Amino acid sequence: MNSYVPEKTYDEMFDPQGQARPHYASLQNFFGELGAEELQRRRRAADLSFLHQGVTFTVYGHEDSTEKVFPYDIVPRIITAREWNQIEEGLKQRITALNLFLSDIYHVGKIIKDKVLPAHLIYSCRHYLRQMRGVKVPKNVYVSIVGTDLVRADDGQFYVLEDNLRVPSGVSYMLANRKVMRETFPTLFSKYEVRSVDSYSQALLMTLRSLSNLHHAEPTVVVLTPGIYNSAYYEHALLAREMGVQLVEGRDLLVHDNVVYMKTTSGLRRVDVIYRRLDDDFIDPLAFRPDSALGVPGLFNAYRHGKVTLANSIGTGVADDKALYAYVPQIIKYYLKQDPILPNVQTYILTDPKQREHVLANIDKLVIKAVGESGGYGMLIGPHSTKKEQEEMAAAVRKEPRNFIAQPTLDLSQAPCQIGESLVPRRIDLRPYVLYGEKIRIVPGGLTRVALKEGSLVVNSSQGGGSKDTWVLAEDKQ
Amino acid sequence: MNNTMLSRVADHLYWFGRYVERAEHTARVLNVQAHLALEESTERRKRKLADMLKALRQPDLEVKDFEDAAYQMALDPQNFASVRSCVRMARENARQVRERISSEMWTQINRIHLSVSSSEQAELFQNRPNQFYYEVLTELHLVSGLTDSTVSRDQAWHFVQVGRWLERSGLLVTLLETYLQESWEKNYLDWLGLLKCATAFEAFRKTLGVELNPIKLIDFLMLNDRFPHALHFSLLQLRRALSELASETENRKSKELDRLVGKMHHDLEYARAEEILGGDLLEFFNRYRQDLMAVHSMVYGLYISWEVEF
Repeated sequence: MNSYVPEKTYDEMFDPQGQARPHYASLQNFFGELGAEELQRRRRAADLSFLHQGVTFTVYGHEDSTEKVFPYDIVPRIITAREWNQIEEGLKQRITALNLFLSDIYHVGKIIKDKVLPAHLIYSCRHYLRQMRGVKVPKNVYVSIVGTDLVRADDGQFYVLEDNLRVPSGVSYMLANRKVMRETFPTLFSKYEVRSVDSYSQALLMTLRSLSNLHHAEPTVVVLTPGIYNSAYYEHALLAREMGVQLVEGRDLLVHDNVVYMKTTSGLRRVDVIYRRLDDDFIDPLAFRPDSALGVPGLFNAYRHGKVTLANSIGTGVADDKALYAYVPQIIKYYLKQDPILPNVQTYILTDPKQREHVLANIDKLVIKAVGESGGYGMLIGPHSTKKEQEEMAAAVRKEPRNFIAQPTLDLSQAPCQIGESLVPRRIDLRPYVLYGEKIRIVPGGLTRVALKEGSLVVNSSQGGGSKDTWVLAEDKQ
Repeated sequence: MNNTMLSRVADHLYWFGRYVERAEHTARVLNVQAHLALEESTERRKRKLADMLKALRQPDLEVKDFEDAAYQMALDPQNFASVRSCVRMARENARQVRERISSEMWTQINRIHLSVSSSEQAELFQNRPNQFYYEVLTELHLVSGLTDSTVSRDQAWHFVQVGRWLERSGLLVTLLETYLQESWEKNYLDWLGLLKCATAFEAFRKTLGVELNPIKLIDFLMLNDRFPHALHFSLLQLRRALSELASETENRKSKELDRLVGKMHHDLEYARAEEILGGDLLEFFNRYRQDLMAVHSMVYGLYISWEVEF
């Protein structure tokens, strides 16, 4: 711990004077007393635990190594009760507003008529699906499972970086991290009151059940996965197992008379709610991509007739479009008449000529993101880029300004990570998971993603990111 | 609702059971035969090598000697019949149904997979093959033990059992067929080897004494209904698993399958070793193997790849 040299940004553990923040003091003592050798021993035990559990993800584009253990860090990240309260309230507010927004734009479009949002922004988004217009969605809930990306900037404030409203992943790493940490540092837990995250699967099942349109007591819920070659297959299997429901692939389902069935050893069984981990495009070859072999022909029609619930609904990606993101504060104000509790990161809309010219003039200082991409692909980090990359990006922006947004380069907060023999600062973010059913449920915790490469600001697992266990404290001691 | 099982999942569980059994059998036969061949003449060693490959259903495998055969059948990732490949397939099937098996089972099969693919185990195989087989077999037994002790006796378990006992029956048939054929003169060591390939040596001695001859071997390895690696016992287990499945799934079309397995059982229950040996042994094994294949097809038709009708 002595060799730890914080960089000049908000440090989760140390205050600017180099003193451990009060909620990190016990952790500092614990690691100090543990000693380097014992720490290495625990790390190896934790490595084995992850490997043997098969906590893996799939990397695309690597033929030889399709399955990898998700990189993790063994120093937990601690969030105080007070910080969590604000996060929780902010997330509740946000998901409520975004659901109202989706319902509005797929029906009357009041927000467009009232000129809060430019119509072209919505209708030009490739995730806005005309097929969904006028569809009555079960319980009027569009987004029931969200993983919102938060970052803490150097002012110590949490900002929303991204709403993931389609098929957010990573919750299994939250669960696996905690499981391994409990085995690795049992005594450290006893020095804190850490809130449990184990109820996530139970909460998910209750949320999914509450969305069923049918009136029988025990609706049949399934998890729909693209299969074992999907990068998040481990997670799909884990959630199905913990909820005690079937993990189905497209080929296990069929639709007859707008009713969805699964093929079982005792014949066909009706399915009421589908937690689908398949993108919109692939869900039904009749309605969307005809070349999709993963989906279920006729599923969309069954959904439109209210015979089955899909979570999340289809076409929700329009609300987490990176250009639309800039308007979320207005969306919250419009539907809820409230100020946003969690602020947005400042975002430039590049279809606006004035903003675009400002961005292009300062391209070396800003981050430019493709609006349709996720997972850290299609992104330029100005200060870390070459002249050539900047020029290419500028040309792409001029050609299709709607496809990009720009944000200031954020100084993500840092936390200590054990890399090699020593503790070093690395940039982190936070992805809590929000469930929206008959009520809103947020499990206290989330996935803290870490940019494991020195100096890197990209935390995505596909780009060399890892994760750490996230502890939300039950109570703040004075 | 928890009684529901996807047909695809049943398929994977069934093959999981089969591959675990196959891996275990292959490792044991290699260990026993390679060990026994050490004290043989060159000529007999050659014959034993050919027999071993036949018993493992790889009569055409090109091998230089016992060591080479053992490597190809134990660790060669290119050979789909090797222990390593069987373990990989068992693990692949388990991976597809992780949510339906216990975490203990998954962790264990994943561990074996990582271990037989590691350079440490390859080294162990080179230097101390005995220890290698001992470890692999122990780890595989642990899979079966965990399957028995951590899973409810529901459909998932029964499908694994169907796979396991069907596979064991088939492997036993090939094993017996190979070693009971009078193609060359067999001695005490050969019979001993056959018993050990079925982990039956000690149990045999306790039941039938020290003298070894084909009649006694048939009596024990085929007709005994109490020993887990005997044909009769395996069929009883298969029959029980199938009947549990029929009632769990409330399948009304399982009559035909029930009839077939009942007939197979009957044939073993009332047979006498002298009659089997006196009759056409090859014909007996051939028919039995065809019956097993028919069981496999019927299980598929009933539970796994059935036709949808509205």
